[in-house]
Amino acid sequence: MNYKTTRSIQNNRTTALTIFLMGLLITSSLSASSIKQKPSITEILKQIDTQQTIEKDVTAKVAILQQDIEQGIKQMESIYFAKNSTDKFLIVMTAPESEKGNGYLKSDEHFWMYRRNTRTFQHISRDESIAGSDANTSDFETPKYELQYKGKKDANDNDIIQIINLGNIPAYKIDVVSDLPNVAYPNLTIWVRQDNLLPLKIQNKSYSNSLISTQYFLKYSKINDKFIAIKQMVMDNFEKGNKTVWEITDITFRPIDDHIFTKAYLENLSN
Amino acid sequence: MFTILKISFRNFLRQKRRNLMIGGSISFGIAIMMLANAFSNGISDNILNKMVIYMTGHVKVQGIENGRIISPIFRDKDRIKSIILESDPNIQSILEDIGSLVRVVGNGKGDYAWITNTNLHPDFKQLYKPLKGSYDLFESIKNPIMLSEKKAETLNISIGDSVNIRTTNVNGQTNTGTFILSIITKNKNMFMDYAIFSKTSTLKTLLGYKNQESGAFKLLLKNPKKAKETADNIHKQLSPGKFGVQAKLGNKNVIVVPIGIIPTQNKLQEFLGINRKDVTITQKHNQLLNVPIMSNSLQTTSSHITFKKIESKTNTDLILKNAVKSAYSNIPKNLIFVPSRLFFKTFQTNYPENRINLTKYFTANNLNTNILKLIDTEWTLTNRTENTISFNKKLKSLMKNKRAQPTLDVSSMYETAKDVIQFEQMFNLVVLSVSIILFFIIMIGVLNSLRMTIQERYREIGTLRAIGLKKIHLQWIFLLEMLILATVSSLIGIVISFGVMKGLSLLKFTTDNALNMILVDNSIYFLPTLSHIIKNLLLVLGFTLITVYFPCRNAAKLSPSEALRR
Repeated sequence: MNYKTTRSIQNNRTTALTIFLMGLLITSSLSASSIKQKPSITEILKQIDTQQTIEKDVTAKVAILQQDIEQGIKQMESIYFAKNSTDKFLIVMTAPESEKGNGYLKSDEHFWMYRRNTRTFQHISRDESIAGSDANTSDFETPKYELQYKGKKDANDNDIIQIINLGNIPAYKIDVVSDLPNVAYPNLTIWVRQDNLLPLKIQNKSYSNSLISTQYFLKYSKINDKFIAIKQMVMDNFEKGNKTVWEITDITFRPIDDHIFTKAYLENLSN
Repeated sequence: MFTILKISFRNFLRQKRRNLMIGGSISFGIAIMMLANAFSNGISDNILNKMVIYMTGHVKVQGIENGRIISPIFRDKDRIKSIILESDPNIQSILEDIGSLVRVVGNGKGDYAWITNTNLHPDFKQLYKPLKGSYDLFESIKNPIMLSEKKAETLNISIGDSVNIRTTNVNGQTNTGTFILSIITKNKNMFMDYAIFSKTSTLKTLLGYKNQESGAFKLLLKNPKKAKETADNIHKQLSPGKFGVQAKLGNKNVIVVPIGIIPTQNKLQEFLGINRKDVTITQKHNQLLNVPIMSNSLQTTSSHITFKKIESKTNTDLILKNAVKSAYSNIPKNLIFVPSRLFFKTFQTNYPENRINLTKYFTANNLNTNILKLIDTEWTLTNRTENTISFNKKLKSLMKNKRAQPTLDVSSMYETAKDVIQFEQMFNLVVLSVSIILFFIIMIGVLNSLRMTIQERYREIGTLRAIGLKKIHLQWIFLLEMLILATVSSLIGIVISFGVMKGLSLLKFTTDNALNMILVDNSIYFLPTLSHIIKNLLLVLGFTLITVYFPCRNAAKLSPSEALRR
């Protein structure tokens, strides 16, 4: 065996070892990352709730742009007050002129709609539309995905979680189902970012599993360690062509007085 | 008598011009009365029998849970139905009323509608005749719908097209369905343009009702005018009792009961031997919260209560957490007191097969009936209301009441459709008042003419008396002559009124306002009845008899010489 041959064998061994080690490294890093990063559906739902639940009082401006195939484009603005510690909120419409002064109040388990023109309060359900848009009052509640939904499982009772890219963002795709009453959409398909489990897209489906609408979380803002979806778009899949975009600005966490969440306050605003 | 009748008839034919004038007036009067009665009756029929019965029924009974007044539900429809049926003989039939506000999307067009069920009763088919499509098609396909010509136009659909419907089911969840348009109708009135009909079974699936469940009950009555009395009787019969659910805790037989409002701490201690600090009681409604109570002589380690569901005969679990055990000897050892909300949330959605009447059970087992006072009733019953205002107030308070315990409500059309009924009553009053005034003006004219007629014929009376005719016979000659005149004129008037009704009902009116309520098929709707014909005929004959009797009697009393002198 000459030097060249010996050298060639050594080179081949080195190459093989290198490939083996690299392969091992890649495999172990892949499995490590998949073990580390693939949470259970319950964890994903819990994380969605935790990251978006703001315990403090919140005041913000909400602009809603609605595109309706029959009625055209409608732009609405409102001020949103929330006292999450007591699960109360108030939405006061500020534009357009026809909606100005109208409001939506949630206090205890009751939802009220106030009409400025008639000066009347009407008891409404959680899924009442805000000023005729695709946004409804339940969209302004604190999310309770973990309590309301359970993940779909395979035959071996394992969570079904797909690892996919949504655009160029690595994401998990999960299907969840709820059998609780008063949950507007009993079936959801949720895409969350792999890195922080924030929702990117949610398909809202009916009891019969038909697609009703798709919610896109276009922009998040991190304020006080909490993520707030400051821009969202809801595409209506039931009546195709309708969509609603809502944008949240001027968010503050100053304490809000309790009297704000009363019918009297809403009535006084009209005066 | 026959001779008198013959003379009267000859006199009737002899005085042609005069009788034509008087008879014409009588005919006109009775024709006006006939038209007014038939018009007024038509409005009543249209409103009470064609609108109200499909809107609310003559009486409506509904069960509300969690304040969802838009989705009434009975968990055991057969039981409630049998209680209602036994309560009043005036009930003709009970219809399941299933409906919901829906968004319908046709060919690129969407609209809101109220979807409701139809039992395809022959009366319904008669009322809603297909303009396009057929009832055969409706019955042969799985998800059929029937709607108005106007709605089909709005949704841009025709027979065989599919439409998508979105709604919120009885559990508050969004649901959707695809339906096939199988009948287009030309609706009798504007209210029905908003309605879409489908099969009961199809709608129950869409709206999430189980087989043994139903929406509200609409009751049709034999005598709709007695709707209030019937509603009161049903209300009495629906007085709630107390019930428990037979179940198993581990391997022990138990009865689960709902514990409701705790009167005072003393009562809790006195009846159950429980200290207030051991349980949570809500300050607002004084209700036991979340903690079940049971006797400590119920020896078990299991926290699973299993019971059989009526729906599928399968077992379902209720898991007890943090149960408080009482050493109080008066507590029946197999009774488990579960907070009312938990009890009704569990047993309403999974209706149990084995229920037990607690009043009977307590009496039969000689148990402390004080404990029974703490147990909630099977449902609560709302008070009866007098009018729409108090009915609406009741609905508002029902909406605010988020209790899982069902609330039953009984209402008659005089509350639920008061506005429509008031419109019917007001319209009928106006029509009848105007026609009666007109009728009396005409009849006063007739009366004067008759008096004058008799006075003009004193010479004739004198001659007849001179040749030996008795007073009574003379009186009968005149009375019969006038009765013949009134009868013939009335019959002619009735025939004329039918002709006018036919002519007016051929005219078509297009209106979208409230006057649409008096129209059927865009025409004025007349409903003459035999009783109205007889009543009007008797009214005219009676009026004529009274009018003529006194002048005739006075004339008959005259001596022949006196009569001839006048």
